[in-house]
Amino acid sequence: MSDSQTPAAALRPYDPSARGGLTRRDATHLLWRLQYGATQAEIDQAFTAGLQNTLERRLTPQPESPQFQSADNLLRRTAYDTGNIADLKAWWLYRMLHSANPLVEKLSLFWHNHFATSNAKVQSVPNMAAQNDLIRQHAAGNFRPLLHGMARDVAMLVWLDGNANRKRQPNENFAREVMELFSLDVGNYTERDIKEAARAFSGWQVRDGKFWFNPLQHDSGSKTVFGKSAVLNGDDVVDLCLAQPACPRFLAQKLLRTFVVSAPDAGLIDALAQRIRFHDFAMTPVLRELFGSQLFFSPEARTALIKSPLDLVLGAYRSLDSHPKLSNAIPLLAALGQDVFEPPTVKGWDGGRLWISSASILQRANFATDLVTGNRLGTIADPDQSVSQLPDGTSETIVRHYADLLLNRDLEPDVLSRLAGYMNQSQGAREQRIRGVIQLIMTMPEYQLV
Amino acid sequence: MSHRVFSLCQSGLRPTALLAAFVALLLGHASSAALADPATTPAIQVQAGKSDSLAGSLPAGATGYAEITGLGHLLERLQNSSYLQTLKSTPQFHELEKAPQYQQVDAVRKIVEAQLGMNLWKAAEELFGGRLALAVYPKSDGNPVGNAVAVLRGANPAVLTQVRERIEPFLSLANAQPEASDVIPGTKLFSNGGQAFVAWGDSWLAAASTRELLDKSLGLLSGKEQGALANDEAFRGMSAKMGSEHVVRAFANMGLLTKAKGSRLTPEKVDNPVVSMLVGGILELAAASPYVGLALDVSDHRFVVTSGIAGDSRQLDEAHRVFFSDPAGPGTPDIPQLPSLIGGFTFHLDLANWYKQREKLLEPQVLPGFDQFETGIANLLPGKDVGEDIVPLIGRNVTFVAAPQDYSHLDGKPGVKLPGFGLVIELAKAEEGGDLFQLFFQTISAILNLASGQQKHEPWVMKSESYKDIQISYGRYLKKPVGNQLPLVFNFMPASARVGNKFIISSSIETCRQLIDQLQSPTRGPGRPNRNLDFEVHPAALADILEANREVFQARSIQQGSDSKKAEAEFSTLLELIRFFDSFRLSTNVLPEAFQVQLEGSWK
Repeated sequence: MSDSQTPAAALRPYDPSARGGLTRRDATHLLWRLQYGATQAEIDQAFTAGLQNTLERRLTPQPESPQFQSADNLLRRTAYDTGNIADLKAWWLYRMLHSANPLVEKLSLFWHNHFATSNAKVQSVPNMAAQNDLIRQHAAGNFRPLLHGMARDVAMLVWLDGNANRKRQPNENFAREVMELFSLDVGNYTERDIKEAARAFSGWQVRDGKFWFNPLQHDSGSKTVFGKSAVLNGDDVVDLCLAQPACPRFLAQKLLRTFVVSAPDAGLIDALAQRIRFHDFAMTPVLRELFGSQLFFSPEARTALIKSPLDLVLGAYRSLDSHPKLSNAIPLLAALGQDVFEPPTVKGWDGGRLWISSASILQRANFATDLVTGNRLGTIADPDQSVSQLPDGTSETIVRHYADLLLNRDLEPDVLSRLAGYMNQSQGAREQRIRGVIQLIMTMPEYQLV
Repeated sequence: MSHRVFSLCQSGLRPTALLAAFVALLLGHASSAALADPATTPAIQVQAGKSDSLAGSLPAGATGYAEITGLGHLLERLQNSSYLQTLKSTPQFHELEKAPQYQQVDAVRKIVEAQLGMNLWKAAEELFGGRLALAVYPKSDGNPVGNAVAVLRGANPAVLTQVRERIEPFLSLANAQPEASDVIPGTKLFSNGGQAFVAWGDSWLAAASTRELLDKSLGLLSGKEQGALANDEAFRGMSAKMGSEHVVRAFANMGLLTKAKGSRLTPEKVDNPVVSMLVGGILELAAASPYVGLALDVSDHRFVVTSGIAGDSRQLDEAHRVFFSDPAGPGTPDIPQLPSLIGGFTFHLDLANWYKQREKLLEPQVLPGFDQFETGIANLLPGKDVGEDIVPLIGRNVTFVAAPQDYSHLDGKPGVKLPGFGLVIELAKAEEGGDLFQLFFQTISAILNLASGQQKHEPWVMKSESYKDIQISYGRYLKKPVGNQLPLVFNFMPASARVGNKFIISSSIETCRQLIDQLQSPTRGPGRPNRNLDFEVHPAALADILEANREVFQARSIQQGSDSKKAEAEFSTLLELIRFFDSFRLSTNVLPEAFQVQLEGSWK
């Protein structure tokens, strides 16, 4: 966003034709934020289709291929069969990589982080899967039914001690988080609001693996939340939270931080919050405006976010047309700090700068080496084959190709020269030398950005 | 008849590797079907060559020896077998064909075939139609296998001549100079550094790492010399016990190897209790044995690998006698043939004495583990000492069987279907042992029930029933778990019973009933030879249980990078390959003056 632009203006539609049409850089930037990485073919397709078509394709439900459905069913059933959360993780990673609706999966992760629930306490594959289904159902839909659904979700009720919330001994865990973490953020409610809300949620329990309203344990007296006094139940409290001005602001800030810029200013947050309120929490139109905005394509937003472990690992798999070994990727992702279905706390992953530490940067480099030169984490497509479509086979052309694919930026001339020189002078077969170049690019600091 | 001797650089001749490859090929080819008792099965007809063993053409004093008879015939069968065709039609093989390494090897094969002027399979069949033997000898530097001699006899003369004529120009290029040999008139000797030598006639070939060994071999081949390996005492002992006509025969002279090493070949103590239980006796017997022999026999649908170790187990010290049953008796009982048996394992061990003698049998570092074990048992069975009160109640035979699990305890089935199992423990004191194991069973059941309750699973109650006058204790869920993807733990519902001096613990009441049936009226008759250990697998039943978990295996394959179609094809191929076999059995036999290990397999 340029200094002269107002926040509201920054959310106006980006018109690529004013700049000669959507560039490959634009297309790559868009795809990297809508999914995990992008293949050369996907980038070419987006470049040809243009911004609106690409965006609509990602925002509109696409039919899944029979092969995907077959593998998806198999992996999910196996997770139920074994009861092992690692199998459910593999199922979700497979969806993130292979679904025809990758944005839905990315948004599902966004909401999984928002409603962070861990199997470490829930200890149930079916319950974690059911929560994931609920999230996916509303991921690009409306936040209202999602928040209402989450208040009745079995995994959430186990995670935040729903069964301990009783009429005479209210447990405030869910009431506190529904305000602090799920809708309003700190500072937008009082301790009394929490105590009263906890009474409203009393009796919302789990019985025989299902949500159960226990009337004997529900406090049916009058409560006062956000200054409104009435005989409130849990749904009433959720609606009151959604009606607070802080709610769309909270969501706007999270959306901007996750998908656009790492530190959005208050003006931008307010501007997007207005759009969320305008669309009454319907996410698809909000995302359409956000991903098609001048802000999204501004220089400040490009390669401005630190890759999450999932962006790093799945992005590399996708960009390099890999055959991933998901069962080996799961512990790697955990080691890098992003273990899906097992977020570290009820706050989820802080992300951003915290993804990088002196230890994790080494692990990230080791991942690149493992993937490109080994087969423990999977195998990448044959580089010789991948570069065969390039106009010429010179080292400079190959280095530029991978810099575009993996960094989405032009290399400094001396960097380009040194990488080309490495490829010309290093030992081994051509394919091995190309792998060396890919590995070097993937260990550059710029590769940590998306 | 012309004879020539060539000296080759060592890097060009690797007879040991060649032999290993052939044996691997043979073993890889062989698969299994219905097992048969050695006593009731006719001896396998060996595809023997026309001549006698090549041990008569190899110099005495070998530390090791291996001989293959009729390899060409086996290669021909391998080439024409449906198993190979199945393997070649698998997606994995098609993928392998695309690999650069495969293509490089295939290109080399084509070059070699063009140079030889014949198909390599055909060449191998014709060249190895007779006998091929390799013997290794000590070297002056102390290496017990530093020298080697290989002899091939019975090759098709026309093919051998063709191969020789095509190869000779390359030998000349490699500076292998021909020399005359005094041993066989007319034979030329080629010397190039004196590191390896090869000589061939119309239908034979000999190679050695020294000129002296080659000359001795040539002398033995021509009948001019005495002192063949066949006359060595240890070798004669092996031949007498194991016979001389087998598809593959191997021999290790333990006396010479021990002498070369300067100490016993096998460890006196092992550092793993399970290894000690299974092979502790074999290791001890082998250390004092003059030889270890091995034989492979192959018939149309069956193979048998037999390994023999000379020695009388009854002469071992007290600590090591615990591993062996009486050679005059049947040893361990037959594996109960439950319906759709997947596999079974039974072995003989004087556990009480093994436990007492553990300090003599095991490395000191593993002994503290026994103390921890005793502490754990003491928590379960207070007031009992393992060494004094528990182990002496156990008899000398333990049997384990795996069979399809019965899910009558569920209203549905588990997501992952594990095979059911049964454990039959022979009791040294039937009443006392039965009571103790029943107490143990009930204690473990109670603990499992508590753990199950903690995981919010259905609790069970202990029930009992009388089956053919035997009292069975078993668990029953208060409310049958419902569903077709029940957690893993729901596979099992324990049951126990005592039949005479045998105590049964099984994973379901139905398996327990089947074991009672078998123990009361065994399906296999008495009179078979001794068996100290018996392990058998029924591939068809194994394939069935794998098939029942097909989705889990295919999902694992997808998790490892396959797509769903490929995962399905891979798993189907695996099942097809398993079902190609009928049976596998590994057994050991205690004989009056030897110990025998036998691996049998049969295929369709």
